[in-house]
Amino acid sequence: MRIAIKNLNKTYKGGVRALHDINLEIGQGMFGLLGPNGAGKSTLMKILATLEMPSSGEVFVDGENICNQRKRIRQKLGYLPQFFGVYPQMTGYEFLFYIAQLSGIKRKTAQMQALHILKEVALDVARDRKVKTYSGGMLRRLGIAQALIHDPQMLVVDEPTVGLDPEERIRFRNVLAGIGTDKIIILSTHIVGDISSTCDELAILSRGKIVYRGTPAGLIQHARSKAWTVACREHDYSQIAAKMQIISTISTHGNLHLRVVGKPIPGFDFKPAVANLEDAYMNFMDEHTGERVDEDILQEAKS
Amino acid sequence: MSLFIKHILAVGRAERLLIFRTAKFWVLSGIGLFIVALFILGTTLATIFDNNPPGEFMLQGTDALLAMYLFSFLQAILIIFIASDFRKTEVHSRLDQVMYSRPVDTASWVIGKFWGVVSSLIYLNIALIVLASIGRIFKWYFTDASIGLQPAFIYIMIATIPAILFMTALVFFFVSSLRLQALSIILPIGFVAAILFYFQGKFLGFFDYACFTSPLFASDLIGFADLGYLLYQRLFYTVFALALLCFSIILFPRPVQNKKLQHFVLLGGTIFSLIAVFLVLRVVQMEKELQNWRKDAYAFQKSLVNKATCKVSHYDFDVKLFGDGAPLQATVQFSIKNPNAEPLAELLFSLNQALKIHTLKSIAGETLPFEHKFNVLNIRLKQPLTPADSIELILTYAGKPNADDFILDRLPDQDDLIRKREGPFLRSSISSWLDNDFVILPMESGWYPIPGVACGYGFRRRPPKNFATARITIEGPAELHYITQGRQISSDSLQGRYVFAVEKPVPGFSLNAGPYKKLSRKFRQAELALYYYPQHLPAIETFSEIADTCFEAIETLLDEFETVTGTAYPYPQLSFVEIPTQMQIYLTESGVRNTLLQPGIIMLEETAITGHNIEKEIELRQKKAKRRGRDDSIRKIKRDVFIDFMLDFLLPYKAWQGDGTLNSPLKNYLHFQVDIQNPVLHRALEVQYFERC
Ligand SMILES: Nc1ncnc2c1ncn2[C@@H]1O[C@H](COP(=O)(O)OP(=O)(O)O)[C@@H](O)[C@H]1O
Ligand SMILES: [Mg+2]
Repeated sequence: MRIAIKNLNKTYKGGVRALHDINLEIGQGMFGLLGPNGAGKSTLMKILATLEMPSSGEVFVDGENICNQRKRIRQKLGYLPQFFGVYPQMTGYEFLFYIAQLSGIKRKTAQMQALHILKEVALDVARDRKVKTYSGGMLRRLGIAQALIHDPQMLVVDEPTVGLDPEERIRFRNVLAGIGTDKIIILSTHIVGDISSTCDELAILSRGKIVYRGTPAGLIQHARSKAWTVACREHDYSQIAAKMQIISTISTHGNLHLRVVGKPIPGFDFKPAVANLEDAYMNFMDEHTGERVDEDILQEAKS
Repeated sequence: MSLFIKHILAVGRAERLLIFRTAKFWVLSGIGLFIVALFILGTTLATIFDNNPPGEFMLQGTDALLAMYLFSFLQAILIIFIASDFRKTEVHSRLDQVMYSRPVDTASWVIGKFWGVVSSLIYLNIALIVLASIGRIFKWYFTDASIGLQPAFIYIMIATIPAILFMTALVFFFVSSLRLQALSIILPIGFVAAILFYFQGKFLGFFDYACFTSPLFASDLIGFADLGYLLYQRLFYTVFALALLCFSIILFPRPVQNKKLQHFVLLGGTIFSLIAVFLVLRVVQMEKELQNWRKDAYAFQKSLVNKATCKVSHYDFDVKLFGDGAPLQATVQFSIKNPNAEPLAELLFSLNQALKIHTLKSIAGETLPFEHKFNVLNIRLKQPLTPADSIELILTYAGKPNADDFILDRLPDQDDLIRKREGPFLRSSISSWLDNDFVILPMESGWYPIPGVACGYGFRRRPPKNFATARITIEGPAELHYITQGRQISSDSLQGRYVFAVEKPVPGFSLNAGPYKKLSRKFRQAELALYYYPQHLPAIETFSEIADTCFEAIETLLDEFETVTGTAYPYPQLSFVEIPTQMQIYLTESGVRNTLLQPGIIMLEETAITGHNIEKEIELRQKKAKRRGRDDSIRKIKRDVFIDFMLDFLLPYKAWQGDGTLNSPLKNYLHFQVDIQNPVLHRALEVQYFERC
């Protein structure tokens, strides 16, 4: 199974150009789509999920144009949108049973499948509770359950870990990791941690353009010998932040211990560090787009 | 294909589940159910505890029908609020993307949602029927009310379901096309308000999509009447709903999944729209034709008002009812006189235009030229009929008198003339009936040739009366009772052949038939009879043991009548015949509230009978007597009840008296306040007046 995206453009009605000449080939396995907010990830995901029409260009799934064969694609597709809601008045079981039927599963099988998938995402204890009583993590698992219920060939999950607490996030990653390698899983995120552990390949999307396409290792390669740690005083912070991408900050007795990427500036004692995917991504964004990522978001991603 | 339907059912089921779990639904429908429950409780208590209950509520199925009718007002709003959520449910809870990325055709999605809304409301209406049935079971158990749900099911089919379909589709269409929920609520509410406060019955009530003002009152005798036009209107709303549903699918904001299906839906929408337009045009054209016909006929008859007319002294009717071909087949042999000073070359008769004339011959077998238009039969004589001379003609005709073609004084723009009764609870609109084993043909329907034209005489002037004798032979289904003027001189109930003789001239002839039960008694030269629908007086047997006493009482009343007026009761019978509640009561000098008077025959709206709870009344009087320490015999009590019951029919005119009490004129009359305006008296005096002249 393969997805081929050719010269894909998307301009929204208001004139926002969300995607710019995207060319991408995605094969089996887990594929990460990384990019800051507003980069166009969700737009691309929605096009893949047959929910938005491309302004120009084509998307092929196994050679079939997605715009002409929506039904065929939808049969193969599992989609968890960035903002996933539920019918609050339904129970988890009712919801999944309904979704199973809509996915073309027969009534009898649908009941079994709903129960099965509930167990799979560890929601079977809550299956007869109204969904409105579910926690954020439970909802997200319900979300992945609805996307997986018909055993899709192609799974599209859009920023699935946002708002989850660290424990839930790890559990969620594990669910994704257990899905199997014979499928295409496209995971979009602005959190590098989601990708580092699981993705075989990734692309970085920035301002509607693909700026990097390759393996996580390749990306790290880029940042080799560009990651540093440095100790400084508080008033030096802004000086460093102006020139380099700060990954993390630890403060002790008025002294700051920073992890940074980029070209070292003179006057500080930079110690080389082993670059990880996060450093690499930050460095890449810094170099290619001049976009500095807000440290708060990074802190969130850290956990 | 089957997946298409499975999806529809799955979406419908889920939608219903969601609707049934929203507060909005239960608050709105709860208010409605509560009001309806109160209404049912009220009418049930009224019928159980009141010995003169409102007769309408005793008719079968009325409760369920009225429950749904009452609820339809709230339902109009309820639908709008529920249906306008059809996209919002997903968008609001951020489920749209999850749902729309499923391999479900937009058509099955929208239709499924539609079905979910529609079926929830249908369930609600069925709940109303159940609720009403509980009340009805009490009524049936404690009173003489008849039981049956047929009218409710007809009502739900022709009134409720098209209304639900249409309103849901309209809201869906707005939601799909405007994509603004507020507008999708405001516009339909505006439409409903416009119907309730402005359109109402205007423009033939065509805008009244929910039958707020349509004549939909069911009779135990004939069920719903006058559905012809209404069915067109209901069909329009159903078809239009389907068209709107198709366009809602087309306009639904979701990337198309199945282009072929989408084209098919578009084609469907176009075809349904065309049919809807056709139906509107057809209705407009039909109504125009009818009104034009009535106007022209009125003008035509008016132009003939001052023409000299002949008199018929004797009719020989040979009437076949419900035979093959036409429900009414008649051969009339009639003797015609010229009472004028000049010879008559043309003989003018009124005869309902819907009756087709087959032959017109003289007694010698010679075919006569004639023209039959605008209800006027114009016979051209080869040799003018000289004064005081007479001829005899034989006319054969067949058909079903058209109820819309007579009482032409009732034109839409003439306020001072007779109008049909209107309004949701007063649904009299049929003026004659010949169907379903029931025959109700008053002389005004023009079912036989009557000298002169019927209309155009102006306000308060009636056509001249023709007094004639007759011999009436009626052939029809054996199981029916046949009621007409005259004494029955021969009957063959196996063949269903009855002959009546009218020996004293009467001012007109009417025909009634139906699967009635008859309660009768000879009294002097006349027969006193009540023809009632068996279900309506199940307790009548209670009188059998005291029948003699009861009839004696009636005889006493008629004796009294004769003493006061100085004339013998002129007709060979005094028959009370139950007629459907929707019957048009002509507000002529011979028509009063709840009755339609024909010579010797009083047609009673069925509610006049169902409005009596005989057993209850007897029970009550027994209690009252005991309380007062009297020891009335049950015979006396039953007799009193019966007399009161008959009094209501004999002279049902209920006028507001000065002291604010309802009083029967016969009661007044018995106190020697003879009221000449009284219709029964009037009818009787007509004959006497004729004889004296
Ligand atoms: N429905 C829409 N209409 C107009 N603009 C949109 C719409 N959805 C997204 N955008 C714009 O397109 C750009 C990309 O958005 P999105 O695909 O949601 O980015 P991401 O998911 O990477 O955060 C943003 O500038 C956003 O404001
Ligand atoms: Mg996004």
